Amino acid sequence: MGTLTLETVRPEVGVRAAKTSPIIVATDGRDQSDEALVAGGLLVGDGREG
Amino acid sequence: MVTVLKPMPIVSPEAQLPVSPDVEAARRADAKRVVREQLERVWSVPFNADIELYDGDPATTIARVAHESNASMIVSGLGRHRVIDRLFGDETALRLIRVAAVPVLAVGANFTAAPQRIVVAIDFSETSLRAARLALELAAPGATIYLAHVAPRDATLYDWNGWGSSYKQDAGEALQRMRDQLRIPRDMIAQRVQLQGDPATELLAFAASVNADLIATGSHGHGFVARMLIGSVTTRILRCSTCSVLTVPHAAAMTHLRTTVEPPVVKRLDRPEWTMLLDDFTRRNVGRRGVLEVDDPEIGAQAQEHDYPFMGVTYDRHDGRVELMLGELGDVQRHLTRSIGSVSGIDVLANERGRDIALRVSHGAGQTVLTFS
Repeated sequence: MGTLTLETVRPEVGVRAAKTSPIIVATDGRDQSDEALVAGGLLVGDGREG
Repeated sequence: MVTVLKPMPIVSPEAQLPVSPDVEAARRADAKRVVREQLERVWSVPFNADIELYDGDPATTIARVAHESNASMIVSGLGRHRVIDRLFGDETALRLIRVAAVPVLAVGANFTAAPQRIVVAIDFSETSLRAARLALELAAPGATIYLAHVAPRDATLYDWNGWGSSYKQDAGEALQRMRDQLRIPRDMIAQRVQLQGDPATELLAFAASVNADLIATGSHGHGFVARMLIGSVTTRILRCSTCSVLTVPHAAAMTHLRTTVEPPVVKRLDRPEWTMLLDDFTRRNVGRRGVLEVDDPEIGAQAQEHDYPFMGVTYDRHDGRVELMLGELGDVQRHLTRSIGSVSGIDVLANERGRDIALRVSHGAGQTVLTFS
């Protein structure tokens, strides 16, 4: 099972996510949903960690 | 982070023994462990995230959780396009888009960075404008956004307004207006693209030609239209695209979860009574404003007219055609007639109070739907 290498290119704006309006990342734990986890972490806008 | 445990499969009728609490607890713990390991594998670092485990059908459960938590977006894998997935209805991403009340980003393989080249399918609806806006939020700095409109293969068939300008010129101006509404960041490039033919085929081919990493589209999906008419374009894009697909539902669908909506009543009209029943339909609905949508795979056409008052619908039993008329009463310059041949079926959709919601006319492999606002 390989490890994905993350680039640092995040969106210029990013999707707004908050406790009151989260982004839901759906995963079944298998590698077919790895990309969803990557995207979920990359695309969040306000309040994201670098 | 949401993961959903499907109900444990039953091997045989004789084996329908209750699952012991220990087995169930172990199963749940194992599911959480797998997701935690996935997080560490993907992020290469220990990841502190809430993992919530739900039981049930994945698509409807995820849609429900998103709705209840007022989520701004669902992110899922795109899936592997396996034939077996289709045969057994296990296309979770596709089913998710059909039931979700929020935008869904189905992420393709090799997604490692924010998208640099985005194709937005523009049909000039409010939904496609919202899809474009959300796509801009996802775009990488310096990204190129292609605002792509697909005209019907024979656009002149749909040049209904008769206002003297060509479809191409109208569409070009509408694309420019939409571009102006988007307030695109200065470092991004927005290109207007006009294509012609079957929408899904043309959008997929164009996306491949520019090596797009995201296709954004409105799903149109709201109850009747989602299930019975559209979906064909979105479904094909989702099944055939190798890049990520962002799907934004119709604004009306954003207010409620489709899985909990009272099912509308669909009434198939008997052919011998078409003339009389369509006259009744006209009397009940004349003057109401609506959206006319055409989906005809045979000629690759998809056209829409928005916010036109409904003037009437008739069936001529001699030539077997249905005539659907929209426009401002008393204004001959602003009305259109869609004449439909080879009609194979007519359905009327009504809500639980009996009020008409939509009219569908099936013809050949396509259909024309009038949906009231």
